[in-house]
Amino acid sequence: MAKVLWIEDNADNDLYHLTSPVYIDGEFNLDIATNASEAFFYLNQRGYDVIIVDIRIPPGKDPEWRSKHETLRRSNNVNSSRLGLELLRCIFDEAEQQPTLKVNQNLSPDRYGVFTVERHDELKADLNKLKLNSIKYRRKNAIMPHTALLDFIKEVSTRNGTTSS
Amino acid sequence: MPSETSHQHIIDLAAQAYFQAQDLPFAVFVTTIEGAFLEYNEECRLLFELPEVPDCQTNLCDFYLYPNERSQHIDHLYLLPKTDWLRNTTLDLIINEEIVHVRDHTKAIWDETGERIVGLLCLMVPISKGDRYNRLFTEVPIGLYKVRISATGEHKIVYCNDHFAEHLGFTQPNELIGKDIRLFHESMETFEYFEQALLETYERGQFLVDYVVTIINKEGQERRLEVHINLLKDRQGNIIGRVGAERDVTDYWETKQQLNELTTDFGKVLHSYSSTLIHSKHTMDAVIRSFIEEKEQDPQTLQLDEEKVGVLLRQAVQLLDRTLAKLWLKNEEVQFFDEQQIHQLQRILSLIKRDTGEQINVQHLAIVRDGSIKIKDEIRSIVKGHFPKELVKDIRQQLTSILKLCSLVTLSRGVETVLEMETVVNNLRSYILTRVKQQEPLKQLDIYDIMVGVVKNMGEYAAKRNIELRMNIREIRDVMIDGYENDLVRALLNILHNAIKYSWERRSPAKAFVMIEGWSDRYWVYLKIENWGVPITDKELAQGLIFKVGYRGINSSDRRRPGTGLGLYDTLKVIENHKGEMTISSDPSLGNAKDDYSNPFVTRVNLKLARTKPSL
Repeated sequence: MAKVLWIEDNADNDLYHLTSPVYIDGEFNLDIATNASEAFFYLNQRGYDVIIVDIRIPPGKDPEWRSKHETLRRSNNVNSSRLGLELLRCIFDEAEQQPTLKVNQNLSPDRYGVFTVERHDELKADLNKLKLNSIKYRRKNAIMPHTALLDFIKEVSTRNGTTSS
Repeated sequence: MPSETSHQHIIDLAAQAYFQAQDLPFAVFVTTIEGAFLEYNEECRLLFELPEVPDCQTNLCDFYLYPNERSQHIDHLYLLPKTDWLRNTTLDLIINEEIVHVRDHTKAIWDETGERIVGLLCLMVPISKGDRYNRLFTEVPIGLYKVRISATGEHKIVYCNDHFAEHLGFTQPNELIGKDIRLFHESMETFEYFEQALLETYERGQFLVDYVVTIINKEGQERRLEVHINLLKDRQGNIIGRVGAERDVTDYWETKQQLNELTTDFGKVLHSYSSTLIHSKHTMDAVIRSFIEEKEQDPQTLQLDEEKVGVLLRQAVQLLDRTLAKLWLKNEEVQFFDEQQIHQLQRILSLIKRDTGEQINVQHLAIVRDGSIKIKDEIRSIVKGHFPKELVKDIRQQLTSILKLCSLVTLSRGVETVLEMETVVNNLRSYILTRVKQQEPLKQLDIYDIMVGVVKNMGEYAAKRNIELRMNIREIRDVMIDGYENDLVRALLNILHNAIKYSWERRSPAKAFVMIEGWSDRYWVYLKIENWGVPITDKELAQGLIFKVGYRGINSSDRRRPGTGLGLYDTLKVIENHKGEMTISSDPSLGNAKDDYSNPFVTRVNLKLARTKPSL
């Protein structure tokens, strides 16, 4: 079974109904990280075939992530609650890597997906900076089917999958 | 120390200038450079209370309130041309222990070489406080003015400063003197409205402050002035005019107006969110009522009893398990499903069995539901004749029963979430709108009634969370406080909502509870709201983090708890606005260490509010 990490703070709450189709389908082994600290832990401890990232996630309990969040918040940085983006920066931006927040995850960028409520154009500039222009993207909204996560995981796990918006 | 001769020498050097000035109606005198009085006229003698004949014992420096001013003046004199006066300096002197303000003109007395100042010739005139304030009046960067009401009822400007003139579009204050200020108001109607506000505040013994009037300036432009006004009255108490200060707030006003409109719009959006949530809740309630059976209800509340449903669900799954076993057996004979299909169905069934254990949560229910739907889809594909009709019918009925039970519990949990969110949205709406609405009047409030109302308001939410609200507030029955009702209700709702939200559930038959206690003494009423649940760390308490806007507790993210991070911030502000106190403590409940968060913590919110003072 392919291993999937879904980084999503609402995975156990408002969006729990998205996970059951993945379990029922039986093709994927799903790990869920509900904040940056948990995601950081999973990313460094386990290898994945697919990683689905939400953009707005809380820092969690890790002091490093809490401190990062607080620093961004104090500077009124628009990305202060976009810690999903910060995680991607830790993975893909060599220049900005804080040694203590270095992520050991050797997965090709085309196996990453961004699954968020934010519009693609709101993220474009930041994703381009990380050279993730063609990262697969899907927007969360009320009209998505309950199989939206499963469909997206399948799309990302297929090498020829196309970006949808 | 200069000798008598040198004193005389200084007098001689100053003689001509002193002679010319001595008869002026000011204090005129000659001092040594060190300040000893050598010669003076009668005005000076009276001002400083000097002896009739100079004895050179009194020193001008001893009268200075700020002694360094004298050395500054001497430094200044060295820089001036030798014949020039240092004019119009204002000095603060202390004479007979009273501060006397004087205007001073000083001329240096140079020695013959012209290199050294040996004495000073001074002309001093005491100036009144009025003179000083007049200077302040012109220098202060706000508009100041005075209006007199004439015998014919005109509101004439009798005095104003440059800023006031400028705000009304004039270059000089003199251009405004004698003009009727009412003519600058938008209309006589708005003036009367303003005058009414002025009289009302006057009757309350207050000044009119922060009142914004719209005026039309000389160029015909509309400006907003924020005024602070005091009415003037004669000895009989008749209003004869007013004095006021104003500042032009036109730009700020427009921004504020836009912000107020935006805030009001936010309020409206939040109101409609709240309405939508209430609608959703009623719809969900209606669906639950439509499908619930007696065996699934709590006999007292007639609400869905999740424990009973849990038992029924497990029984239904066991039944399905047995029925499907018959299907697998029959399939070996008819070979309708291939091995992979059977494997998939059995895997799903095992997931369903796993997720209908003792503790059922919504995530488990979602898997049970989606798994049951998947099995149902597969069963629907069965072509007639392969399996006994009754067997297929039983499976379908059992799956329908499981789906119904899952849906009932999911809906019930959904109602709980909606109720929780509705309080958050409603409190946020109320908080936001306090920014734009008029200040609520201070009223005498029955704190007992308010607390009972708040508990009632939270009753359904608490019942859904299976949390009992225990009240022991008899001691505060009929206790009154002076307060702002809406704000206080919102603050108490915030506290109680938090107490319920952050309570840990307990295994049946034990029930989690929130304790509300109230008592009073002669001056104060005390409320304590206590819950067992999510810990607040020492750091969060010591640094006051929990009172910061947008702060969400370190330990509060372990389960679904919607919130704005405004609740405690707002609550503290409300309590402080009532001149009250709020303290929060959070301690381990079951003997665990301070940093062991595996057991619930007892969190207590203590409020202290002032009782209404008894009338004399």
